[in-house]
Amino acid sequence: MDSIRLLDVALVVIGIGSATALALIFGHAARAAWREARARPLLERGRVALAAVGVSPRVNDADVALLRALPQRLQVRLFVELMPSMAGTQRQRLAVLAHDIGLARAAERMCQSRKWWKRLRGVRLLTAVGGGTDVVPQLLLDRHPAVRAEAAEWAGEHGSPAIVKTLVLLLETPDAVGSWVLRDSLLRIGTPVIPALAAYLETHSGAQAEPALEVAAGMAEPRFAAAAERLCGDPQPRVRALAAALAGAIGGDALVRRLEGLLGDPDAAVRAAAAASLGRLGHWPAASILSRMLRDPAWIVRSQSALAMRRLGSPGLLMLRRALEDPDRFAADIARQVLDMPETTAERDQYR
Amino acid sequence: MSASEIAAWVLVKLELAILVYFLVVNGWYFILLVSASLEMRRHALLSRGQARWKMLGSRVVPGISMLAPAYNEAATIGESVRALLALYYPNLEVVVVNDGSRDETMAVMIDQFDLAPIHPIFPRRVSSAEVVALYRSRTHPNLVVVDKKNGGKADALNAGLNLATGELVCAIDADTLIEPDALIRMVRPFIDDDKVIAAGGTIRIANASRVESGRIMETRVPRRAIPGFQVVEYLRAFLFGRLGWNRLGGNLIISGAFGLFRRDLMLAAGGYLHETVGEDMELVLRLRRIGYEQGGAHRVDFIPDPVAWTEAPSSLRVLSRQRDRWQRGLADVLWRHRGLFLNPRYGRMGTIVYPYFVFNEMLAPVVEFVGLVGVILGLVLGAINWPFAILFFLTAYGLGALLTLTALVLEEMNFHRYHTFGDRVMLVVWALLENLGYRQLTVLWRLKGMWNYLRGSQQWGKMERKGFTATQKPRPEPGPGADATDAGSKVRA
Repeated sequence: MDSIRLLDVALVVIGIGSATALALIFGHAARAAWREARARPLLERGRVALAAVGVSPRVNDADVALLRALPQRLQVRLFVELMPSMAGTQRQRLAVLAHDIGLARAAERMCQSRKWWKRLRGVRLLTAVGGGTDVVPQLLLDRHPAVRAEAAEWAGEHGSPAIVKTLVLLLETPDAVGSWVLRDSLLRIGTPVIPALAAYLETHSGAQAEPALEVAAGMAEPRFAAAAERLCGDPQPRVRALAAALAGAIGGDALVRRLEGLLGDPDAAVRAAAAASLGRLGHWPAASILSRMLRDPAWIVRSQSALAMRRLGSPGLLMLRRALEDPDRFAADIARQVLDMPETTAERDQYR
Repeated sequence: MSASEIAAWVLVKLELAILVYFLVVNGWYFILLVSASLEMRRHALLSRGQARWKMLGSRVVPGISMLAPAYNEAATIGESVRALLALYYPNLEVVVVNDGSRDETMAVMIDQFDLAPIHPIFPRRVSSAEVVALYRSRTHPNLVVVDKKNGGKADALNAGLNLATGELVCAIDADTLIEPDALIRMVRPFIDDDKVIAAGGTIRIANASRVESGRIMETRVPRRAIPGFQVVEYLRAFLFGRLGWNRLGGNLIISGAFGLFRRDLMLAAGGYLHETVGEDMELVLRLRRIGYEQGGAHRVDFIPDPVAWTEAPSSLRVLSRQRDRWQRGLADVLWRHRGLFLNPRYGRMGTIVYPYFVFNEMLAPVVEFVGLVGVILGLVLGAINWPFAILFFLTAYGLGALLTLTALVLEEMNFHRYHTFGDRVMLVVWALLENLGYRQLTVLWRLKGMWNYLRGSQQWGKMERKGFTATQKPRPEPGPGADATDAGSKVRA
């Protein structure tokens, strides 16, 4: 009897649960449809007003009033929708407008919230609409990783010396904000990063130098040459490989000699990076040494050497054709493959 | 004690044991439900307002190689590959593996993508059947095509793995439709955390939806029962099952139709195993196991919003083969990795996730079948009274339906992919009817799968699909061992 009563109770609970689930499914759908229907005309008018403000140098007060009167969620939606397609003066105008209608201020308030997801939303909004120089930098050291990462993303658009300094220092512990976000932001900031990054590379080595080398390789700046040369001798193979890639982005006699030396490195990834870099630099005198690398025991080295030779143009192609007769079957095979490759493909692989 | 009294006593004890099993299983489902809801909320908060477009302009995103095995796909391969090449991702390579097709698949690709043959040498880091030819496209520099002898899906993926150059590898079926921004979403766990070794996304059923040029243009819920039941089954499995495991010890399964892996770890682990029909689950288990044993990364994430669409079997005959194979794959993989069972060395994977898969997934059809037979016998012998049996049946049915309805709530509140009122009604109808007949059929098919596994069957089973659009020709049936067209275990939990 007790078990039957228990099942009765269970059935009642299941019934209530199912009714609630049904109410949520259809209630939510109806509410979303109602909200969307109400928002649609407002959004249409808002889009026209926002586009007018972005395009015209004169601000129409009626447009601003209309945008100010919109609910905040619709303001956010409109700005997030339009801002990524805007640049230069138009973007600046919209940023000023976001400030004028109180959206930027609302986002800044969100950045100071105790709730991590509100801070996250605040930074995201500021990344989209601009502003936040007073509140976001401190979020680079926020206790929540997603907020830190988002602040680093925001920083990619705001490369002031103080922010650059903080971002470069974070390279010591890239996991704190996410290695990708950090590298991406530094590359987005571009030239202002160079002095701080060069100083960082002068004083760091090993694993701490890895993300910095990747960023530096994307900038191809001669001020990194000294660090590249030094790090080509780092005890860690991955660092040597990245330094070789950086050397290939910069060039110069000293670095070319260093790269030729790295072709004899005990680590295959380093030899491959050195070969690829020589090809990238178009250093044709290296054709003969690269043709010897076609006999390397490691596939990656043979492959990168052959691609580098193709990149060298006539001297490299000549050596590749000669390699077809090489008694070493592996050298002949890789030469055949790279000569077979459609031009566009070979050019693409050159940069891998 | 007479024989009938002994039988009645045994039946009562058996039913008690099954009742305990029922309570434990549903307790677990409740925990998974709470976990999935929390995880969904976290995911929604983290992804709301995220500007993913920035990734498209990034120079430091990890490269992704899409591995697409194809077998007798001449009718659709051009459209499928074009859809892959058009995915939003800045550093993408597409490796199509023609797994010994007997139709015009290779000729179509050569013609449509201006393929140039290149000397077929490559590092054979994992084993695969003989590669006959290698091609690169003149018009799409990031397209590589491998023409090899037939060896099955795992073999084709291994051949693709040997050719892939990206840091990450995305294993798909050639007929999977991937949403354009799915890779941008799916790559996020890898760039946020070095400890992630693999990630899976949601698979949804495309039957009845409108497909144009390899893209889903309009999502619809099938009006036919077999695919309709599978729609709610997939929603439950992905939005509630797999998402729930993110917090409780990680997933053991990433769908063979759409999963992202770290290539270096896949190669170090030896790639896909040929000797199992559950190659996707086996790989995930092996990667995680190696991670635990070597003190390395072992996290597997499930991301609910990167969506891939697939065509579900629309006949009972084909569906039964699929479920039979999934059950055999599950049993085989769990047996191969039996050392994990309650082994604290493997953390929560060994002590929680693995035992769950043994008791709640592998043995569930056996227990359900025994329970059903026991109830019938008990009623016949008078050992169980009718009111109890009816109430118990209603409770079991109600719990099953409630679980599916909860998955529909998660879907509606977070994604609302189905827009019309009629579609929502159909979802609810399939959720309510699923436990009346369909579920019992799947129990029988899974039991058959267990039986076939014990007999040592390694057959893949012929799969037939109609194709996504009415204008497409029906696909020919693959031959024995030719398994590249099937999605593998898309959904198990």
